[in-house]
Amino acid sequence: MLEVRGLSKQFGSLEVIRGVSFLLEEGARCALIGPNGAGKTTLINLISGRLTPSAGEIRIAGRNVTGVDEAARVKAGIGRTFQITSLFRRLTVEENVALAVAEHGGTAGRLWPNRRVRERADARVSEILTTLRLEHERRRVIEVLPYGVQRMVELAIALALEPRILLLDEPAAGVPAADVAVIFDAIAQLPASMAVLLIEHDIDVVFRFASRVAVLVAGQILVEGTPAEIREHSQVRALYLGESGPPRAESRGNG
Amino acid sequence: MTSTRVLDGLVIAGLVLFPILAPGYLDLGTRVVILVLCAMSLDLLVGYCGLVTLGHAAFFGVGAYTAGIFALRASAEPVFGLLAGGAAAGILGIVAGVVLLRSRRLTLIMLSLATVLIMQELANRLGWLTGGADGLQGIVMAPVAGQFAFDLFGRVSYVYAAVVLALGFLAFRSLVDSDFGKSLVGIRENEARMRAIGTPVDARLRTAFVAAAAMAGVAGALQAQVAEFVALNALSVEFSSEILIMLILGGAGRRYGAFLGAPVYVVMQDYLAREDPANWYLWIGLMLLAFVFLAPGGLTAWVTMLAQRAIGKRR
Repeated sequence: MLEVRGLSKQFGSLEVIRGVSFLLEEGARCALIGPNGAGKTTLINLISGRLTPSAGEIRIAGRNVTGVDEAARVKAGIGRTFQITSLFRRLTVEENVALAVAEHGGTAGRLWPNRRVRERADARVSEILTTLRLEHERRRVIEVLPYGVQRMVELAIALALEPRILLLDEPAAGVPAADVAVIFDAIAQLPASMAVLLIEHDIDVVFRFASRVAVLVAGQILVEGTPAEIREHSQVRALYLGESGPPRAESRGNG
Repeated sequence: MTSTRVLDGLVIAGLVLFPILAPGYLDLGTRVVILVLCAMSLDLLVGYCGLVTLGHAAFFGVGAYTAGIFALRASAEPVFGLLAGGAAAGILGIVAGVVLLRSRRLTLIMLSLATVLIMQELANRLGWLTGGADGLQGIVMAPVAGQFAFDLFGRVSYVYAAVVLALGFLAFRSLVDSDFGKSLVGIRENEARMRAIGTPVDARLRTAFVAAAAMAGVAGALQAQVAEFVALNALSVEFSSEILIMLILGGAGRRYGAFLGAPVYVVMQDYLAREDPANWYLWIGLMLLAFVFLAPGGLTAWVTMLAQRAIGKRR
């Protein structure tokens, strides 16, 4: 589904991603972990098309999309959430999701309103909001909502695009501990056919969610394997788990 | 929404009732109607796309000159001239969209400013075509649609302009209520996020630019036809900023901003220019400052707030 080959990214003389390759199959549940500054978000930005790689190749379902811009990659099936919420803050929850629904439904270029189109879009927005239990927040403006709810709206927008590949960049970053479960419950219920790549600091969450885990250190994939293999890997323990102490105590919100 | 439907109705009713209630002010009314159309077209860019430009007079002026030249050299039929003016400005909008939309904010303001200055200088230099600094003179319009001759009292002018504004408003309304219009608001609010949901941002903005340009061009064409004259001033930075002031005064991105801002500006300008001809620009400036500080959303926001208080449904 998603194939990344020899991907590199240089900012000036600084090489942030160094020859990363991996494969994400249809329906994969993969997690990407690694210390702060390892290049996790940069990798997501490269795949989603926000950044242009210095070298390497990105393929979606066999099609080379390396030179394709961000918007076109969404059409090719890549959806993402942002580590720091990026929403339409002065619009309501339903307006936020409706923008994505219209774009995905191909009606966003229409120059005149159409009742049938609107009704269909409304129904789709309701469906998404109901799935994520956001229905009661529907008419509220984003900037007045608690951060946890805003993170759910991030997810709602990504789902509205019905991506074949979903990139989740620390979906619970900055969320009070009590609300984290709601977000990961929603992630656990994502459609089975969707390939999901999750960046997350909470090791317990990662091991529960993912069938494959990759560890990114200094822009390179140090090791990749099943959660059990990663847990036993001595270098990972030293570099990542050991370094940051008990995983639960890890601070959220940056990295 | 039903409230917008009622207000849209009020707008049309206002256009119809004005000549009945104030038959002595038809010339002023026509001027306001044209300015409303122009400010409304600017609202597409400033209010909905979040693109502040000081170049809108370029589109208005090109529409005006095209309609004027069209009347002199091709056909004196106003409707054709209107279409020609809109088309010419729309074509300029395509070019401007491609060139200007590489930039945002301050750079965009500067580039749009430069566009107007260049257009004005072109009109000034091409005297054989545009009349240069003396303006384009000698235009004589045929009756509208071959039926309604322009009269001395400005009745036909007003009705003609009002009908065009009503049609322009219908187009504007359709644009801002459509998914396209909503995506413009999305771009205004968070352009980077729109790209990440798959929006071809540049193409969207270019379309908005063409629509706004064509509408401003139609306003300019109207101006040329009812005045039977085009002044070089139609292509000035000063006129650009006046349009922007009207819009901000009325409230940008609020659907009715142009309908409130343009008349208030024109009435104040007339009053102040009469009472204090030496300093009227100072008063306009102070008034603008007061508005920016006291009513940031413009008159529309202010009126909405008062109305909500009156109905008693505060948030």
